[in-house]
Amino acid sequence: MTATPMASTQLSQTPVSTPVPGAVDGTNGNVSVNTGATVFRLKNSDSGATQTVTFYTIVTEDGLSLENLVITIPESGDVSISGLPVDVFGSQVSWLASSATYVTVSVTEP
Amino acid sequence: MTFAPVLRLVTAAFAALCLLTSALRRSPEGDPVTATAIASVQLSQTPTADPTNVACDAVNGNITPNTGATCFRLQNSDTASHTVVFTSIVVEDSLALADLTVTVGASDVVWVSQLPVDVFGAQVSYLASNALVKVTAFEP
Repeated sequence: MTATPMASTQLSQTPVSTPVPGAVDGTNGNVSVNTGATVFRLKNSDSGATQTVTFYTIVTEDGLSLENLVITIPESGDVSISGLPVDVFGSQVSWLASSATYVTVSVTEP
Repeated sequence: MTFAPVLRLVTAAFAALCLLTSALRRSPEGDPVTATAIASVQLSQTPTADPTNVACDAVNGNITPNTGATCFRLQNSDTASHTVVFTSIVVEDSLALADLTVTVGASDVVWVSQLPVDVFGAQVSYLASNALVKVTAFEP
């Protein structure tokens, strides 16, 4: 499967509008540039159930894979995460949302 | 005769109070040190709910820790545009570097980041032109 790229919004001293969370690829997953300071805003429009976004690690040791980071978004939740080290998640981080219907994501680079 | 030492003591105390008040009013750089502190929200791998923006102190200004990657979300709930002026700390040959003025349109929300620590300080001071401007600082 080929993950769908999701570009990040570069912040600077020039003001930009709030990045609008966009649709995700709930089948193939998505891939975004990651600097370790990249901010992921995760929204769940489902008022009846939580949703998840799984961020894939790239670390293996003795043939064993490091577990992935699973973020749970509360019902109707709007959360942000950051601090995904490049050596653990890569400079291109892959992630998969549990639902393309309810989950939207924006990626911001400070 | 016991009145004189008491008078000296009161005078000394008054002078000390004046010095303290003066010191509290102004920093060596001349910036108001009464600026209202607004903490930044530290983001991590643990999800953080979207914080509520905080009203700016349009009189004394605000001060927030700055790493250079700190993101400022500025919300203007007024029907007129307003500005937020981020104070630079650079002085060269007694000349001050211009401050960064960010205009926030009416009912608009904008984001800025990349305020270098060597230009804006590890504690950045800023002044909104109106208290209807609200801010959230994020630390990624």
